[in-house]
Amino acid sequence: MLRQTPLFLLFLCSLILSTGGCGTTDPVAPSPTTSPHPVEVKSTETAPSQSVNNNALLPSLEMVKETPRELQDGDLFENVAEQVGVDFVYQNGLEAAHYQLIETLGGGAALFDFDQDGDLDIFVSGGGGFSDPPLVTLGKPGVFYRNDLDADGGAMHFVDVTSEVGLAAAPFYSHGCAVGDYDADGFPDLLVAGHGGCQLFRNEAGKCFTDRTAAAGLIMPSWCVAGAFADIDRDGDLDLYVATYATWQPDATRQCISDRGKRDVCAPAQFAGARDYLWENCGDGTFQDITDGAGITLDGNRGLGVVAVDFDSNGWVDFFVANDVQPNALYSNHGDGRFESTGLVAGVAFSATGKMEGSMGVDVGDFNGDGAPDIHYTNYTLQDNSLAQNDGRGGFTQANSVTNLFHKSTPWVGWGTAFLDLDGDGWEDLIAINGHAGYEYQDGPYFQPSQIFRNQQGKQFKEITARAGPYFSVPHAGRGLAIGDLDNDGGVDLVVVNQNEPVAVLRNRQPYEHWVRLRLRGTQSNRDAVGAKITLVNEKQTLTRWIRGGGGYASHFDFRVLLPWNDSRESEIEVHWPSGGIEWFGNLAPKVTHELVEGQGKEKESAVGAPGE
Amino acid sequence: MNLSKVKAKKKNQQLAPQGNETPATNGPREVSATRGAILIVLISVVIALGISWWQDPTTEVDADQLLNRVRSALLSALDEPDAALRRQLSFPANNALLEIEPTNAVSRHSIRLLRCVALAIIVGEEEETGNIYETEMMELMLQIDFRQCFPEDLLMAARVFYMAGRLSRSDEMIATALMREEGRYEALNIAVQIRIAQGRLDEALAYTGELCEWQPTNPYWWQLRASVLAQSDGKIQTVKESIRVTRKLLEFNIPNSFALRMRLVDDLLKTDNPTEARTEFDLVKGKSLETVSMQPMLEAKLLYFEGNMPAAQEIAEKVLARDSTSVGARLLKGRVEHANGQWESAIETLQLVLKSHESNPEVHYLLGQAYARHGEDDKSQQHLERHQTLTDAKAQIEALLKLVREHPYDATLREQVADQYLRIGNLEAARRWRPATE
Repeated sequence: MLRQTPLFLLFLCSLILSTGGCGTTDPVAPSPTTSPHPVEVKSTETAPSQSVNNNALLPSLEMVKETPRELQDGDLFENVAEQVGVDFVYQNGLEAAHYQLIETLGGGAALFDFDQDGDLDIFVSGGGGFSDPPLVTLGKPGVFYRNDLDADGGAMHFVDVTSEVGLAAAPFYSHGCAVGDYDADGFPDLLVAGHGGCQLFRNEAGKCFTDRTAAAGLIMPSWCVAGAFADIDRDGDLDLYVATYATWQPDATRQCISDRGKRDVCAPAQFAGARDYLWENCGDGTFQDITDGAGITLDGNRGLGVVAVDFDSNGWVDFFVANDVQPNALYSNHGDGRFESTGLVAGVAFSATGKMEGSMGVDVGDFNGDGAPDIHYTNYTLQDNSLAQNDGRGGFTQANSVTNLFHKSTPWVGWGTAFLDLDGDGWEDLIAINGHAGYEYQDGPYFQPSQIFRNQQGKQFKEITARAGPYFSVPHAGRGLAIGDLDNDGGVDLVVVNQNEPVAVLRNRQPYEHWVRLRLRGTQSNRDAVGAKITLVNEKQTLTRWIRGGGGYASHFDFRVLLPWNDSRESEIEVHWPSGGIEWFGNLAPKVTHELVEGQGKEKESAVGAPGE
Repeated sequence: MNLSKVKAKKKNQQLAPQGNETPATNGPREVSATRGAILIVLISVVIALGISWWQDPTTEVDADQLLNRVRSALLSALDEPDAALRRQLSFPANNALLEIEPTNAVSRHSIRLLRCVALAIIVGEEEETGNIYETEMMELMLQIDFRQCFPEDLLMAARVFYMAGRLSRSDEMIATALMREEGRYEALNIAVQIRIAQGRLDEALAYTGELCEWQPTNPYWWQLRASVLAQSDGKIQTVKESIRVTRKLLEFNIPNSFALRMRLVDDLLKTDNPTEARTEFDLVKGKSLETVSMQPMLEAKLLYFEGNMPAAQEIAEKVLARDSTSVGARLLKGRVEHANGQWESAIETLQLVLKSHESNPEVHYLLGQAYARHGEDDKSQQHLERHQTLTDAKAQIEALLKLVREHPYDATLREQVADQYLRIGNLEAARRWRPATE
């Protein structure tokens, strides 16, 4: 009893205090008219009566307090956008304060040699805005920059030729772009994806583009985000996968409340996902929708990123689709016109612990040098970006925990990503472009720093963002990332599409000392050789690269392959062509772009049979 | 000490706001027994005197004064850890209440309620069917309108019924008490305990929030909030709040801050913040190796988060060598083996985890993957399907919990939550969510 007395006295004191006895005053006694319960913080949900005064603060660049640091000697990248004539801004229409889901996705860039003059030109999607209520999404034109690179390998310079090449129209609010020579005329064509469908632009011999969407039959009344050209049936032409996001229409009266209790953009899970499209190239300039027949079955999947390579080494190109708040999809191509959804068994549908992720961008590379295509895909905040290690048969192990990538990206919302060998050591490093989707959410700021991870001998990654350069020293609302050697100097450059902020052109300041660049031309295979596997074996290691369809986030990477060429002796390149043939190419002079044409190499026994065999 | 005594003591401690005083340590059993005997004699004398005093016609006291005396007597009884003594103290209170003439409706209902309190103490936790006191109490209960009772009586009754494990009755009482402004904070304090016992942690969390706002400098409310958070759903917002509350508690310089800091480390890991977790962990490690050694798996978890798999696995195996039932150590070992592609050992380890945690979707997912890589497709499929079922059920539960937050008193919703838990085989959670039926 004695032991209990102090507690009992305290209990009594509490009773007396709380009942207002003994002349004590209750400083914060709840008034009868106010709710005594604290307001529960909710995630996004509709609340039509929400006051407009409670809107999330719309982000602007002035909110970024930090200024980029000065360029330092060891920096990997320098933003040269202004110097080289790139001043385009992707716009998402946030200024209208309608807080629409479409504002979250952003845009991308495509790096390709439009006029076949030997350097990379740049296309950037334009985004869009809104009409007055009742809301309709409106498109804003993208931009097309011709690269007037000094033929002697001097300074790059870009000229805005959007109107001249016929890309000034903007029929819809745009996001992603994809490139592929669908008509095999030797000039890469352009696909632009957005809310309301896609536009297929045929490249007219490097002079201009013509809109061939209707003629090609690519009618997709959907919210398209990204595309991947790939030859799924090995008939020598490029088919097309289009990732679509959600069944959503703008609505000014729809109001969503963030976890801060403010009106903000809605969470995607409030809208059903949409059906992706798989189009077969009929070879006559038209495409046929074969989605259902081919077994692209994950309806309502909220696709954002798509990449095409042969993941299971059966000789047929497969698709990995990064889905937002839905299981990711891996469609394994059986080669008989049928795909099988194998993501769950393959270990890429969910996180390492079996949880659903909000996945955005994706790329393929060989981080551990075993010759199998690994996958890196970016995820929403509080979910690590995922590095999935391929066992060579299309089965994956989530490898973050064994590669020191565990919890390295959890604070950020990841979008664009790429495998790229920054230092020419043969090991592919990783880059992730970050920025929050919502304007004022509790789980992270709108502007976020991007990240670079150096691959340490295929075993561990180490973050080296601090020496990546001034652009990486401040946060951005990053989205699309495209990679390619813009100045042909042997260093992979980056183009980053930010939200409502000028596009960044990040010149690589540390190009390889010795290198070769390969440009593959299929003859039996599709002309761009999408799906080809390139292997360089030297004394120290085996380097494997792929010509991937799609990849990144809403962007297209340079089809050309840049390899470090450290071995002074003669090395040989092995090419697995998408047609099934394997050839060797040797005697490659350094610091030159080599065109490897199918059928002109030293033939090797085919790994897999031709279609129909 | 019998079980009911232990329970009563525990619940008493839970209910009492704690100050800086620390309870005296247990004395030798013999001393307690002697003291108990003396107390019985003393109490018997007090009871005898009390009854005569209550019944003394020469003592002019009104009904209100008599009620106050009964209240004091009942509170004294409640403070007694020994169930037999509590009963002995409650009999005269019950008898005295029979003699009090109610002056109005309020006192009539309060007298009935206080009699129920006395009878509940007499009956104890056993709830013997056919017990005459139990029957009498149940009949009396039907005649009480809680809204008509004095607030302090309602609070005492809620507390007694909670301590006796009669949760639905105490719930009814506390719900009525919470509708009043008077005595609200004490009502909240009791309500928190009742809600914890019912598994209605979302409401307990809301109540502790109100208490912390009311007296932000009282560490007891923060401790109470921390204890609710520790039992909550583990969602990221909850864990973040737990971090905030723990940091607040650390500001009070209360004893046992090392244990608090270890909790902070755990929470920081849950929010994917291994850097801060390492700082806090090293702070404890530098000052109290004993605290660190008491929770070896926390260090293993930290190392795992930091990507130091071999060191994490080493600790997990050491823990398993000492205690082969450690599920945390086994799961971590299984995760490491899985990440390293050691499929056979991962399968073996994870199957052992499954024996005690069948409804853990992660384990099924990892097993599904391991079997697939190992070429056992049927088993892979089986575990992946189970993973999907569990994941779907958990999503359903989360959606229902969101609704429960909006409609905390909706029994149908609680029933549905219980059904979902039942579906995934979590009987304990199902029991907590099923509305009490006593």
